[in-house]
Amino acid sequence: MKVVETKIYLKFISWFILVSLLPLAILFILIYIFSPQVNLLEDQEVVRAVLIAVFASLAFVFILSLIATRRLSRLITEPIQEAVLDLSKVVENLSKSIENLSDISENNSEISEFLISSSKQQQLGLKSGSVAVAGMVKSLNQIVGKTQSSAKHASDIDKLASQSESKSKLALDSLVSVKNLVTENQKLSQALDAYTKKVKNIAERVAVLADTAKFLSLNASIRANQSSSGDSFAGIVSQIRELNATSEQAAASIQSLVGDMQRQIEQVKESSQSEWEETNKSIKVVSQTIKFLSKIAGGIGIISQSINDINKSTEKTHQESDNIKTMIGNLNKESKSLVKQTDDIAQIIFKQLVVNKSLNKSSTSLNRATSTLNNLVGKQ
Amino acid sequence: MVKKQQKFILFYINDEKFAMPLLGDSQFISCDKVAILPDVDNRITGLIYHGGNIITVLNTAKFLDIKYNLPDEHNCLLFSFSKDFYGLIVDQGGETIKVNQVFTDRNKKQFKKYIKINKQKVYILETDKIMEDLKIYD
Repeated sequence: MKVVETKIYLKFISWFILVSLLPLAILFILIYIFSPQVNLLEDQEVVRAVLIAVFASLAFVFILSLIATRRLSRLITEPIQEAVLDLSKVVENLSKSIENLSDISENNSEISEFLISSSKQQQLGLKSGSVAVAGMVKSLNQIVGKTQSSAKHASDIDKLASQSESKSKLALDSLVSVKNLVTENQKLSQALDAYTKKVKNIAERVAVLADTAKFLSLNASIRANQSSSGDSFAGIVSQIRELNATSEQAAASIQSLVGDMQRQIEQVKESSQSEWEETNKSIKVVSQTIKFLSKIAGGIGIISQSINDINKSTEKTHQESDNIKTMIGNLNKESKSLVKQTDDIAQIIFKQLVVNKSLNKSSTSLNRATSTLNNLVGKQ
Repeated sequence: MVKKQQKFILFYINDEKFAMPLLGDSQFISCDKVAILPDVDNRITGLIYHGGNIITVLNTAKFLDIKYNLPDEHNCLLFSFSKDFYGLIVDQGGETIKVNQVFTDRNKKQFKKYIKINKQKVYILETDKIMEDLKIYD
């Protein structure tokens, strides 16, 4: 017999003994109360008979109780054993479920930690993104300001280029007029050169005349000395000498004048030639400048348009960056709420862990109870 | 006793003044276009035509033995000798003067005679001497 069953038996037996002894005790008490003069203990025979009867009854009760308890225990312990078996299975399933739950809780805990760290990193990233977007917005604002000022400058340059183009055209016209004047001057100097050549020719003739007069004077002097009437020649020789001197002076003056004229004309020619060349060069330079200015004006127009496009694009980008900023703000809020929700989840997981622990405890208690029941029903 | 006056024609060559006795047909002319003659004495520059006559142009500097670059345009002092005309190349003609005295410079080998004009010696190119030196008809 098992110890548990024995205990149950002993309990039943003791109850049966009590139940069997209790009427005897009550009988003796009633006898003592209602018939105090009757002393049952004085008679040895009675005492012996009572004791035998008591012992016999006790033995009978004991046997009966044993039989009863055996039958009762069979009747009671079988469903209990089945229930305990079921309960054991349930406890095992519960333990497994608790273990799974514990694993899940651990996973949840890891996930929640990961979520917390991720959300913190996300928050940090969002903060840095927000700072970066703020910087971008600031830079874009600066770019907008600079492009606007550049557009203004380009517009001013465009105006200046247009003005300079018109002024260059005026300068070109003036230079063309100067060129025409220089050409006229050249023609004039050429005409003067021709006149000078003519005057030079005349001067040469005058020089020849002077030479002739000189020879005439010398030869007249010779003839005067050869002839016997030399004194009568003296007046003529003197006049011829005067003529010679005058013609020499005239020739010298004319030659000097021609020389001066020629020099001046040469200078004028050279200067007009250099002026003409310089004017031509200036015209070329101004023409090239006008072309360059036209190109610059065209380029500046394109640049201005590009700057305007850049400005528009920058403004759009600015708006988009504002939208990004707003989105980042919203994301930040969502991240904060996510962090809050993650905190809530962590708390829930913590509570789950607490529940797990209590479940574990309950499971342990249940195991204990099951084992107690097993003990009670006589199974281990 | 009255000294006989002699007449000389002055001329300049290489900035020096010289004199030639006044002869018949003496005159100054311009002699630019000189026709060069081959195989002649180097003192004969060439020939020119003037007044219907062929004139032999003589290089005066060669006779005087002075360094002289013959200019492109030069003048000649014409004179006649033995019915031929000659021309002495001169830079510039001068006056015709009368002198009372002719001097002789014994230190010189040729053209020793000279006259004095304003106390300056002016050597005389004597045509006889020139023709004698030239030996044109030998």
